[in-house]
Amino acid sequence: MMMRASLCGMLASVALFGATSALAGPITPPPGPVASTHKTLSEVEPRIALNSTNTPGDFDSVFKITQSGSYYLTGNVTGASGRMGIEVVATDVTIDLNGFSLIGSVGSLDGIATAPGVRSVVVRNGTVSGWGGYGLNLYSGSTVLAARVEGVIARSNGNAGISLGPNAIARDCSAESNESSGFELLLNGVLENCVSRENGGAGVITGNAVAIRASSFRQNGTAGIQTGIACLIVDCAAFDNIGSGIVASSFAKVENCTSVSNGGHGISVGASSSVQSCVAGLNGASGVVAASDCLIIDNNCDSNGGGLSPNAGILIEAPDCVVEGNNSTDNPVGIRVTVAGSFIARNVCSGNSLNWDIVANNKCLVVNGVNAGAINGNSGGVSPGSADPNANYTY
Amino acid sequence: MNRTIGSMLASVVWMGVVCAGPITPPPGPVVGTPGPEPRIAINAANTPGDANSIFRITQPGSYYLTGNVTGEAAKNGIEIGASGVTLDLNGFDVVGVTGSLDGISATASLRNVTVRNGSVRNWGEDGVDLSTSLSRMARVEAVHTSGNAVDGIRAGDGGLVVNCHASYNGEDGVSSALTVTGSVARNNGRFGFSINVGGVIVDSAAFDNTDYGIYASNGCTIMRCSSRSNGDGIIAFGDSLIKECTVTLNTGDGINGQQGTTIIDCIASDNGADGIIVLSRSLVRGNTCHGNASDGIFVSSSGANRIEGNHMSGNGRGLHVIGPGNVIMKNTASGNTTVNWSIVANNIVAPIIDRTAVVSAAISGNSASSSLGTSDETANFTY
Repeated sequence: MMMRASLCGMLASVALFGATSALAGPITPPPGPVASTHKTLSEVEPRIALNSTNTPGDFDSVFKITQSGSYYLTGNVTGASGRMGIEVVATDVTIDLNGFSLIGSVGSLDGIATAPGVRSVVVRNGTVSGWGGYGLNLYSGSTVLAARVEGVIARSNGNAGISLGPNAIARDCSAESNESSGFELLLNGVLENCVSRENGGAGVITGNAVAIRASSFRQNGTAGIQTGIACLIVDCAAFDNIGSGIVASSFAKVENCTSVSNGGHGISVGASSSVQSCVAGLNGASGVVAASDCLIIDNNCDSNGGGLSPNAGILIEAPDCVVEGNNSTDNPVGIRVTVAGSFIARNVCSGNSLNWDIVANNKCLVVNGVNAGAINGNSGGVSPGSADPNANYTY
Repeated sequence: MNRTIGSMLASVVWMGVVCAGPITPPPGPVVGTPGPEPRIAINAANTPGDANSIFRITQPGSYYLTGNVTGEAAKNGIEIGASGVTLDLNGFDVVGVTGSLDGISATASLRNVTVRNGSVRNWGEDGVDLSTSLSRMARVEAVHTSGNAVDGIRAGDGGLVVNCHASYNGEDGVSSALTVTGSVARNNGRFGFSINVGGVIVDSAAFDNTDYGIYASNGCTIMRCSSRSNGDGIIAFGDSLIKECTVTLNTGDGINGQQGTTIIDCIASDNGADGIIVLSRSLVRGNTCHGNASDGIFVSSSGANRIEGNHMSGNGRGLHVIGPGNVIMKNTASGNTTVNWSIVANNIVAPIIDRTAVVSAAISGNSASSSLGTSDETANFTY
């Protein structure tokens, strides 16, 4: 009797299970062969991990990338004497440092380096520090490289922090305490939203046709910014560098920058350059220095020169410049032009040891401004001393 | 009947054996299945905390969150104790509680620390504090900080802040950064942003902060920023550049430029005190100052400022100069309620031409007579 009851209970359970199964949907398998629904590791992470299996190094590299593709770090990489961290000998390679660090050691070479002929390399998101050579050396001789570096910190490397060849972009990066420059860009590159400080060389040094914007360069061993021909430098700050704040070769455009408390000049540009809407203050030498055929417009040059007489708020050392609309105060010389042939208009100087020092045969009218009486209302004032709209004034 | 039941049970046992596969373990030691995530997860096993931290990072490397972090009293959320650390918040939320310390903090003398991609809120001290003495070269990217008792983000000397948001923090939104770009600071208890000497802030907005929207030290570049409804809009110390910024509806002053500062092409409107203030040796050009309760532009007593080409309308006073030794030309003033021009003696002031009563006839065609009243190109105008 008891056994019958148990059997009945079991059958009832089976019936209940059957009902539950019915509620759970049909159990008829779908047509066709059984196929797996899981994803393989390579489907979840299709990129290639940098390790001794996938990217074995050789006599001079810890890892070596020989095929195009997308690579990523799976941990910190420690350098070895006589070796690079990662050597790239293939074109079209992306390396995601994945937040990890490439950490050099005594006698190591570059953190990441490319071989000659390599193009289109991207490095992003990590730190490269303590290498015996460059942090990143993505400059392959004279070949076209087109590198892009994003979100990388380069620190305490034996050469420059980040060195890039032609057509490169560096964005959102920092470089500190590298033996040479913080950043190097060869040609046609872009550097933006970066910080470069306390490097042994320049904050950034570039070849021709490089654009530098929205970046800060502080306490570097030579210049804050040093560029080749036809470079664009906008929205930057150069502060307390041992050399000059900004040094640009000819055909440069320097706009909306501050260059303050540097040991040399505030801003020095080569021929046919433009310096506009900048502040140059408290620099050890002159505020703005220009070669021939330059436009020096709307700048504010204050307290440069360390009190030494040859230095000036604005120093023009070659002919055919336009010096217009600038404000020069409290320098040894306000505006100094040492050669003939420039057009100097609508500038004002005040409080300099010598406000104007301009050799003959420049187009320049300087008027000692006439003080007005007190004004309270809708009218007043007097002519500053000239009806010439191009007059310069001392005030 | 008994045979039927026995067959059924046998079938169940057989199916279980076949479906479950072999139960004999493979030979050799047990090893984990390799996964696609090589970074180090923040958890009690990998990054155990200590007396004052829930999690503590002690080795260089790349770390990530696998879930939200909830704070505890008297503890930091994640303490970074090694240089060369990247912490990816992975989109998660690091939430403090009453009496907690920093959400994310760094110990002294660290270098090369990056924090990115997540939210840090409601901590008892700072949200992200990477500025401990001698720490530097921090990067903070795409982090939202809010409701922290002190600062939202303390980036430290050399800090780079990109695309961040800081709101409702007790003191500064972003403090002590060197370069800030594409960020927002709102409703913080003191400054929206404070920028170190030689710093840069571009393309950013500060609003509804209790004190200054942007507080910049010497030699800073401030470009294309907006500062609205703060205690004061922007203050910049010596030899800084402020260009193409808007400062509106601040309770106090719009822009306060100390000595040697250049302020160009800005709009300062509807502020509770002055639109623009400068001390000495500054260049103020091409700005529009409208509807400020006190002065459109106020020039203090120190002198050697160049005030040129600005427009001042609807303020208490248009241009107010209380010291000698400045040069003032090509400005325009209109409809300022107390007075359009208030300038003490011994400044170089180009003629101020009163054209308030002069109107031109309608013009339709190719020419018209001048109604400027002067041919002096340096003249200032009232209209």
